[in-house]
Amino acid sequence: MAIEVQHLNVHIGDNHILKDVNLTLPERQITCIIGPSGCGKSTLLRTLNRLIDSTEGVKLDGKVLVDGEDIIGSGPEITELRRKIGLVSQRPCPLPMSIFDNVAYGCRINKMFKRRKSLIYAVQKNLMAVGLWQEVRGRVRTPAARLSIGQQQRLCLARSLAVAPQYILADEATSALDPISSKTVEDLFVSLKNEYTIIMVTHTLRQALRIADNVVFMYLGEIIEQGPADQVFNHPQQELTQKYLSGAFS
Amino acid sequence: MKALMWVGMAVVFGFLISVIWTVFSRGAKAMSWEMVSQLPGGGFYIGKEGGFLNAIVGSLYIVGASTAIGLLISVPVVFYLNVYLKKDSKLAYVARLACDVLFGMPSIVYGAFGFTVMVFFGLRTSLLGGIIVITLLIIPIFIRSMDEATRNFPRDILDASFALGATKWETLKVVLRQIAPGIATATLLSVGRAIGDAASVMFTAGYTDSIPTSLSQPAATLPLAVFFQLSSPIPEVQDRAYAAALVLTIIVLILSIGGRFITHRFSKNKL
Repeated sequence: MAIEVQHLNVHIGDNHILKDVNLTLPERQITCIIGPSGCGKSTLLRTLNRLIDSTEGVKLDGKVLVDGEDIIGSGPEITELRRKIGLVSQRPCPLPMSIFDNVAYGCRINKMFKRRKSLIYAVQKNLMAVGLWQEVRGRVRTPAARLSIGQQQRLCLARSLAVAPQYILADEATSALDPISSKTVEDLFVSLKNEYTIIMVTHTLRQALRIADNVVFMYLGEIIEQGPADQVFNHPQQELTQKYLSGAFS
Repeated sequence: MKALMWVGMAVVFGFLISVIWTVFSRGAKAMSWEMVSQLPGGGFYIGKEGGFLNAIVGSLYIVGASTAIGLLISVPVVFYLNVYLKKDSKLAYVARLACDVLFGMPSIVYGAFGFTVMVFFGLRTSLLGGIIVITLLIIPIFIRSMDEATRNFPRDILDASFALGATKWETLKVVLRQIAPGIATATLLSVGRAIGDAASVMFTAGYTDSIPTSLSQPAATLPLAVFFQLSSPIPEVQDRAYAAALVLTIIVLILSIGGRFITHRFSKNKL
């Protein structure tokens, strides 16, 4: 099992955001985390790569095992952890540099390549992996900010892939995109699941229905139900899950 | 309505061109290599030998030092306002208001204030006095213009960089890339104001015919060189005022055109 969360509690100030979360995120599958706004989905995601650390007044306890190693408490070097866990956020956020440098950035700071040629090759390979290479090949030195939103989001994915992560966290990665770009990115995730463990927060039930192997349903900071997509969608065990799926609240 | 806009534009352009024309045509008459390379001689102020190198060097000293000190003080303030304080912080509101008030304060008030302080400490007009007052004058400009540039900084950039395994230091470099154009613009605005201001240095830096060799000696400045020479009844000396104004204009032009160029190169990748 790839990531295992045990008795995780997250407080921010006086708010108890995540309440005794227990979770198993299986390897090389897409796990979709669903639930109404403010239920703690994003917090959970940000805890997995410890990006939550930058939030003021945050307190974590419990265990999060990534490859058997507890990342809360001492754990591994935090930069190393984040390299291992890529993040694609809700709104694409290219760095203020060229398309090439955006993808190369992670490789450079992690000193992944000694030779420039290997770096160029890696950038090209990752741009191809997200289907962006054909669109930008003549202008990789131009600012990333000039790309369309959909292209920017794929660039951000390429940037994450470039540091060779094992896990990809996606926080509503398609919600800011137009339907066509959204579909492209969604298909990308499906094609990547053979190589990466993907954990996706999504707002659209239909998206989860289309691509999820596993589903986690959260409500008010608690995990209500989790399991294979088929089981959660077709035979939900909990009343709350049934209500949410039927659209009684959102 | 359209005619009104045209007239407005014509007035602005006409004004700009006539200012430059006056300065150039009258300044060119008195302009020579001697003017910018020599100190005033004995009879300089009655139209004889010498130049105003003292004022050029004095201005550059004061502006250079106060820009450096101003940056050293303003950058941490801007970081504090935008990174550490919350968006709705009262302190930040008060600090911004204070800067805006100081921004609008006439420079003669700075001069008078600096003069009072110097009298209190028993200091005489000096390079140091000029540097301090000009620093005080430009700090609010620095802070407010950098603040505007930093305020709408997309915070997602921090997450994006951290999420790739970047350290704080590496992330700071990305942040600087994003706000560099803002800092450049702020510096230009401040330098432009600092170098052209006469009122604040009149009582604090004073005026002298020599180049200061220590901080405690008085220093001449270009705006005052213009001011004093223009007050002279002798036409040759008045023309030299325009020559000084010409040098001042050229310095400001170089700064703003050079600055635009740098800003443009930097901001190419800005989000």
